[in-house]
Amino acid sequence: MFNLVPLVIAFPVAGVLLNLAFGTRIREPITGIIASVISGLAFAVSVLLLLALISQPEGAIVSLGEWIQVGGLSISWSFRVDTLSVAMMLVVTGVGTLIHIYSIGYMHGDARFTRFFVYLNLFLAAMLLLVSADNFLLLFVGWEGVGLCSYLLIGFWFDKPGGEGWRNSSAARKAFLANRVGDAGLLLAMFAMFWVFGSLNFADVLGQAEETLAVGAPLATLISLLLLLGVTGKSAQIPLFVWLPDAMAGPTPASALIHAATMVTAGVYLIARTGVLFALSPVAQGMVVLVGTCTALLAASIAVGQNDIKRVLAYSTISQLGFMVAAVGMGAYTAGLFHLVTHAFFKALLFMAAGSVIHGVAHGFGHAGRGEAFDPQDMRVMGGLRSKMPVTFWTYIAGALALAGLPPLAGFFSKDEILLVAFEHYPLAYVALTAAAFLTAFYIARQMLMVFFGKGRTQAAAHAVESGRYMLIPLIILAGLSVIGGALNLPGVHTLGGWLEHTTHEAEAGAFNAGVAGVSTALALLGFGLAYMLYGRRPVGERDPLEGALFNALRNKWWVDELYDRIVVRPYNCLSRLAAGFDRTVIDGAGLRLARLMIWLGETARITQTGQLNWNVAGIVGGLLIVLIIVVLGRGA
Amino acid sequence: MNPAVPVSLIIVPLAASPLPYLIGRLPRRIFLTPRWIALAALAVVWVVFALMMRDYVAPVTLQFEAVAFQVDGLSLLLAALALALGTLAVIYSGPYMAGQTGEEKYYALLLVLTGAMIGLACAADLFNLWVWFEAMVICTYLLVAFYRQRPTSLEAGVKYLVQSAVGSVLVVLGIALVLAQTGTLDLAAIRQATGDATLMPVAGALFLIGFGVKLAIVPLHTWLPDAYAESPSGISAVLSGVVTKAGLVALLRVAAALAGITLSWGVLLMAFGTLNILVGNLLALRQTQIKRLLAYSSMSQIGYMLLGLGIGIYTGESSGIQGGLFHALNHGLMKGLAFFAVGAVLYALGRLSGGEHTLGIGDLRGTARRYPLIGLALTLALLSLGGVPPLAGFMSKWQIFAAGVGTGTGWIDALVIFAALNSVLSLAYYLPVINMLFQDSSSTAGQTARCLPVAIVLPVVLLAVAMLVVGLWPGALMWLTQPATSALMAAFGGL
Amino acid sequence: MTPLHVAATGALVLLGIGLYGLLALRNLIKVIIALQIMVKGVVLALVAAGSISGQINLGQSLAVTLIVADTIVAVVGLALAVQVRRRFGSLDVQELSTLRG
Repeated sequence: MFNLVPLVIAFPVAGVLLNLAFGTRIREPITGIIASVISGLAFAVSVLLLLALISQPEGAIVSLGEWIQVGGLSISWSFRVDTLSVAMMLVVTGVGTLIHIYSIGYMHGDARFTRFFVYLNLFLAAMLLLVSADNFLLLFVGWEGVGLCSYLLIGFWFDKPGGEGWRNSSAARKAFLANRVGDAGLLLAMFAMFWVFGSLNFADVLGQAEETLAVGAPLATLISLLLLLGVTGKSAQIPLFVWLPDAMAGPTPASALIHAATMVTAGVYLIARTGVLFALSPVAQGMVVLVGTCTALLAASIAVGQNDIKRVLAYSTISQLGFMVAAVGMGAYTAGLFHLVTHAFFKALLFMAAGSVIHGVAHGFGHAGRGEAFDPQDMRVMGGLRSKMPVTFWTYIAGALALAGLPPLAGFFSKDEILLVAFEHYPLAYVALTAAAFLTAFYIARQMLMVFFGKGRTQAAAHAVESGRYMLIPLIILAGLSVIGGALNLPGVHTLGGWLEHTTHEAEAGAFNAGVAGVSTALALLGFGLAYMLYGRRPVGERDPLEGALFNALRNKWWVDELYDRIVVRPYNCLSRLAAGFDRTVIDGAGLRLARLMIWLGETARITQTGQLNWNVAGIVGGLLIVLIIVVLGRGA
Repeated sequence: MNPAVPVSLIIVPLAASPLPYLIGRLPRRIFLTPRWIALAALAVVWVVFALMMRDYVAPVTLQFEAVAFQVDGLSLLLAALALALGTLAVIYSGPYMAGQTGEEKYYALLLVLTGAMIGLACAADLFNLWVWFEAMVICTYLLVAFYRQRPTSLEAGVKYLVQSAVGSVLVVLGIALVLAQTGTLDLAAIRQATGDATLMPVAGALFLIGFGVKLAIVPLHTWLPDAYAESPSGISAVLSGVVTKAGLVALLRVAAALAGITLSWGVLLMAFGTLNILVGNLLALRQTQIKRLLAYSSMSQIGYMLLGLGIGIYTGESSGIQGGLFHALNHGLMKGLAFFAVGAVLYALGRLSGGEHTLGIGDLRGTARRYPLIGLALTLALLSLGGVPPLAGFMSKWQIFAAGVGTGTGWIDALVIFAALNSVLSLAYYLPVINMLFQDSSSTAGQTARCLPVAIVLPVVLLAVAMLVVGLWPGALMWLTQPATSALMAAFGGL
Repeated sequence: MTPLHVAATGALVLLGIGLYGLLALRNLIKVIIALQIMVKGVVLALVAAGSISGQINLGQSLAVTLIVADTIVAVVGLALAVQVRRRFGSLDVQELSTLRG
């Protein structure tokens, strides 16, 4: 049964090829349906693997053969089936399939409909390679693959008119560059691991780590910190988180799949996978907790000040990723992965519901038909959509309550488990994370109130219509999962914990603490109440009720982008200009001269090809003479 | 192993070769065309080859009176390549050669050519080796000059014939010398014998130059661009993909037999290899006709093979030899693919009947848009030839370079660095072609282009897939290169 | 001077004449004749080699095979020459140089 694992990747690859080869010949919904079915097949295979794992929880390694063999480096096409990787596969393919279906509706009428699905399938293949790889190089291939797909999808509408296309492609470049910085960390970590362990296989590296390196060994810290750099890039943590909000330029299903549910959690997966290494370095673990906690709080605060519906969710994602990273930093892998799974449910839901809202409002704008500048993602133009888009509204409520962590929704259990571990071991982090949880409740309530309640503030909002069934069915399914998802790992039962224990080295889960749960629930309710006081009782106009210096800072994202511009981008540009000058005059000059020399040599060589038969025979005779001379002279040797 | 199996491997294509001719000569057209007969014959050969591979454990020797055959790893490697490209060329030539006068001769000659190359691969004595070599060469004379009405085709044929014949004469002269010195022609027996310390190396030199004409080592290469560019594209693919390798195998066989007595073959091969890499690249650099460009690129690729083999023979390490043989196989795939793809464009432009047959690089403009598969395949082939990872050509070059660096000898390191730099230089002529393929607007000729039949697309796709597989999984050809390497190592006396 | 020496010298002389012809002659027919002269030298060398090594039968059978193969080459060459005369209107190999560079 375990031998099926290559199929998980082979199916999406087949989907890519199918749609590439025939995509131009078949009509619009078909390509999307093909891609969705492919994704569903991958999900089915994951379920089969799950069933196999239940009877044989230690899993297996499936090897297809050698890939690279150079010197001491030996890399094979081998995949790891264990509780961790299959859990990730289920999330990726399960949520992925729903998002595929949703996209059929969302991308309807787009000129590059097929291309979108090719990218989505390609992303699935890369993401599944990432989570199923059995060595770091294969993982890195997947890691880069998802980065590429992310880039392609953020810049998907690169040709929109009026400067928007340029902004989209700039966002794609920004994401790519920020990720490259992180990738460099991962690469260096791989070099260091190969240097220390002589191998890149998980079994070799993670199996030998405890014997080779002592606790607190500088090398363990170095490797772990380099891995952390990779994580901050892919999972949008401080200091590299700035790309994720801009990544919202991509189509909303891509944001849901890549920039909320799956790809950005790759960093969390990486830390959980390499937990042995982090466990050897208390310093690195502390750093992970610090990074995660600060990110959670900072991003949650920024989300309060945003007016773009997707940007709020983007900062919310960063903040929630901070929770997960902090959790795995504390060694609470189950809590981190539990939150990863529930977050995948409710954040994918929120994004897709937001997409539905955007669709509805844009449609309404088309209906109201006035030519003024209009941004269908701006929450200030919405309001009162509760009655216009009832399904979207109710599913949104489910997602929002789960995100805010109200019992008994999925987010409550997973977030509570993180807070519990923090409460027991990292009191400072506990305070910060609880504060972030309060802000979370506040900003999501603010968003709901601005979007769905009150009266429509524009004609567009007033004429908004509900989306079609391709989009609504996945929403309903995900809403259900967001409500009951907590059942995966109920306190006292710990289904997920027992499952993952076969793979990760877990710090044992603490008992349910009514105090911690009570405080966070109370704070969430307080956040809701406060939001209602500010936004619920009177219509929100141009001027935000919170308007002031602090709110200004939040709206401007604490000026982090501007700061990076000052200390990184501008000095770098300056340096580049200098280097470019050097390059043009010295390097290119030399290159140009070399090229001219080569061209001259080439032209000269062509003269020897006279096309004359006698000359050709002379070549043979000359060659014979030369070899004869060499042979006769060199005969003693 | 049943001796009938290796024998029928050689006999079947030869025995079947008159059939396409006779069928084609029938007064009335019947259901069976010459091409289908040829394909059926090759299918039988494939079955025999599969049987052969199934039972192959160790080299098999067969003796018929004075004629000796030996089937070893090297034979199988060349036989596999000859069969593969021969079959693809027959499939490909269906639409490509349709309506040409003498179609029936074409397929008959292709069959003989394939059989002769398999025979050459299995020959175990010197004269036998030469006879097969000569049979192969004569077939190619006729195929190169196949377009008899075209002056340039004739010109290429004449030059090819005269130069090959001179090389052939030198080989026979070498055979005479060896016979006079050792009294035997059996390759294994020659290895044991001793001869005059001057005359035997002279014989070695004669073999190197004689077979070297077919290998297109500089300065014997002058026939090559003409022959490759002027023959039908299917033949270009076979010439470049297999016939040069047949020359290489013949040279290696003889070199191994003379390994004990004469000159250091390794150094000579490395020297000619390096020279070929450089001169091939320089000649290709300013070339504007795509088929000539590919021909010159073949010269430089042959240089890499010689370099790898030379390193292996010089040091006695198997990795260099394996790298060289691996590159020979890969080059068969890549160059076969490149010529097939270019031929497809020629076909699409309708340049086959009108007498004009040259294809400038500019004519490729916009190919990728009109024929995405062909454009992609040609791009992959060119990138692979240029040694861009992770394509097949990179893998074998890498193995050659790694073998060279592994020797730890300073001047070999220098040669390797030189060869690697030349790989970069080669991109200087591959990339403009690729650029042209992906240009937005079609050439004027391209706008009137017609659809491509399956028989032309199929070989292109098959070779492209094979190349990709080999690039991602270099071990895929190990079953051919491994026995060939050990056969060659054994022939050189374990070194 | 033994007969063998005569044969070896003769072979070398024939080869030399043939090579000179290939390098200097311009008429395609003459070039083919020069090629033939070379081959005849090699035939002589083969027979002599058989005689030297005491394998007269082997040497002679090789010589016969070579003559057969060579005849085919000559026929093909002459056929090409006929076509060249027809298409180019000349047998001058110097004019047969449209393919260059």
